[in-house]
Amino acid sequence: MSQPIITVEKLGKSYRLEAKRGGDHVLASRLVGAMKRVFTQQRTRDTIWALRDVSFEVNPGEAVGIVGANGAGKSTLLKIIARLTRPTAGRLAVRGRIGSMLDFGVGFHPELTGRENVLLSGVILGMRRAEIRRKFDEIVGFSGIERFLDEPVKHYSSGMRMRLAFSIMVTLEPEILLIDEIMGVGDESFRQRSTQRMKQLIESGRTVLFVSHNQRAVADLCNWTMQLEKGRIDRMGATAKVVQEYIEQQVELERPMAKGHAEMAPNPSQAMVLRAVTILDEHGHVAEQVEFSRPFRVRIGYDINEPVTGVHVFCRVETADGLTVLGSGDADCEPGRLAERSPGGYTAEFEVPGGLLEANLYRISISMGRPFRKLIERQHGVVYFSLVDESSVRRSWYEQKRPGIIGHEYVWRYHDADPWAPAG
Amino acid sequence: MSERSPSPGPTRTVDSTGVVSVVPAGVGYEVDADRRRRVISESPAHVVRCFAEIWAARELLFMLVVRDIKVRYRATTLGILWAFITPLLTIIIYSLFFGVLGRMGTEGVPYPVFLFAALLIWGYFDSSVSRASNALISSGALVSRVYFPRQVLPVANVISPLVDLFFGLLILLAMLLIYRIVPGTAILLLPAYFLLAMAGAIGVGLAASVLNGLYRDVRHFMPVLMRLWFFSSPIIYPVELVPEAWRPLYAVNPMVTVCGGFRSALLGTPPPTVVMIGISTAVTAALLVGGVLIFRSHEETVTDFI
Repeated sequence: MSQPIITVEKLGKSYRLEAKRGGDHVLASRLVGAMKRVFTQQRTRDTIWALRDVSFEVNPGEAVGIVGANGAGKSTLLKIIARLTRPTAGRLAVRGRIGSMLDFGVGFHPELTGRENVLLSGVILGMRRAEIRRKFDEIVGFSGIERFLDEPVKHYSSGMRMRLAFSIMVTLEPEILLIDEIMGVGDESFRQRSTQRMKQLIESGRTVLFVSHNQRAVADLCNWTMQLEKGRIDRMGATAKVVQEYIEQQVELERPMAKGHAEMAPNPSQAMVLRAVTILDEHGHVAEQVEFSRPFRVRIGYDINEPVTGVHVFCRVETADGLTVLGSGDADCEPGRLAERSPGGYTAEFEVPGGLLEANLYRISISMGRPFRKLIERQHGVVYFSLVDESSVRRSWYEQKRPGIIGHEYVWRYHDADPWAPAG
Repeated sequence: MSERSPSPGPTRTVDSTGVVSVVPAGVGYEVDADRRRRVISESPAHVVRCFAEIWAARELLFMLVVRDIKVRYRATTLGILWAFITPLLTIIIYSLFFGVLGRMGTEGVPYPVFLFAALLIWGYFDSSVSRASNALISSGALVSRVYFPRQVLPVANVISPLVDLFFGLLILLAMLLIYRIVPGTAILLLPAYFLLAMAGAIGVGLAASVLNGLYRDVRHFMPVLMRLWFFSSPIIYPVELVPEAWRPLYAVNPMVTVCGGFRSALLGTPPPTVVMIGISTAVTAALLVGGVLIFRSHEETVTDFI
């Protein structure tokens, strides 16, 4: 095995707080500050560590995700690796050319034409002029703004400018690519092309460091992921696991996560009120986690406080980051439930068969009312529960979560002796 | 930063999917928190490396210079004509005030051409230093988002004023024709004086650009410094104005030798003495080395302030 392409050792970056230091870069106040320190023996300074004691190694060809809340130090880390700012502590070794996609349209000059800016910006980003000329048509083709190439960039719309800038960046061919949250550019078709292109770059064996809030993009692209928390590495490891825990943590931050069972207070002033949601395993026990290959049930308790007609209770099962994986209403297979119902307490439950959903963290969202007419109550993330995989055969050798949301152990057949035998 | 290249030879990696990536030799860098302290102790290496990096980034340097020149005259109605108009107006104004009204001594040369021979190279030095001192700040967005050898920015600003210098030379040629002055063999020294001015401009420009990022005070101070420098150089007055005994001290300002030298090379006035040339050259070398070292020790920190 070769040496790591990026080595980061105990890296730290501190900033002094501007307010406290009173404009330290102004010579006068610096002199005053120095005098003060001499006379008061005061040595403490108000510093914040944007990054502290961060150590990791990246091997060639790895795609590494970096997640974390705002201000966790993700961008600072990328900036240090890209040599844009000096570390206050620690050491960094990079063994390859770096291409950073930290921002768009860097080096564009408004007075220059699109054509001139492509050349200039390419050279700034580290390409040779001959290389840019060779790829010029590719760049322009990708951006889709051929017609305006000889117009000054100041007349471009912001979308056009970004497309041109992005097109230049994706033609870079560095060994190491730093990407900071840039998937949201342009219209839908351009966005798809750029995401596609990013995947190509990653799959072509480049080393990638990828900062994102879009956890699904990280999970799709990265071999492993680190989570930064207040400048330190909080978790590091298999992407699925880290992202999963990160999502759980974020959900917890928003409001305490009810796991397995949740109850709500009665509210007589509302025609229909959700009272309880429970996840039950196949034995009828309240369960926070269920083996993914086993069935589970969702039980919904609610009050009807005044006579209502045509109402149903609709339940969505969603991944923790909000993707709806299934939805079902209590009148789906029993239209009689839509008839007039008198006040009282009701309970309904449905069963999700085992092996339908992949191991993951899920949440239940409930809405009640007349379908497509009147919404009486809607609650997101009432209850969370996990499907876990502790028994499948693949689990015995494969630690990571499988991609996708459909969970099933598929049967493979083997025809090893006769590889080209027709199926069956 | 890139003090030692961590990979001595190309690293060839084949990952599990068979994708081959080859990292070229000598590419990459190491950064550590203590680098700044080593700038002084490793100063010779830093000076060499500073210029080696510029050479390696010469395409970028070229593009930045081209951008500078294009942008300067684009979107103006008169365009490149400004390169002629500005010096001509300056010559007229200065000649009126200092030549006609001030009756300044001129070592036997008509005042306008006496003035312009020195003003030409001073103008180059002045605009180089002034533009270079703002180079990092005005490209703040660039500097904080993409890495390239930072010294390229101030140095590009020392190169782009060469265009104006060239047009100035055309004007000067015309003046020589009009006044029927034929330069002697001393004109062979012209490139040497020019290089002295350029080296000084690079040194001062590098230091000023990085200090300007750290202390915005520099921005206010630079115009004053340049005006002081203008009057302490023999531009509107002859070198003879300074007593001979004081001239070695006078030559501590390298622009004394440069301006006096330009005049002697073009107009045949008395040339700077060997002592003066020696002193000015030594000071210029010190400015250059000092500028590089100041720049190198702050170039990483300055991005946090821009």
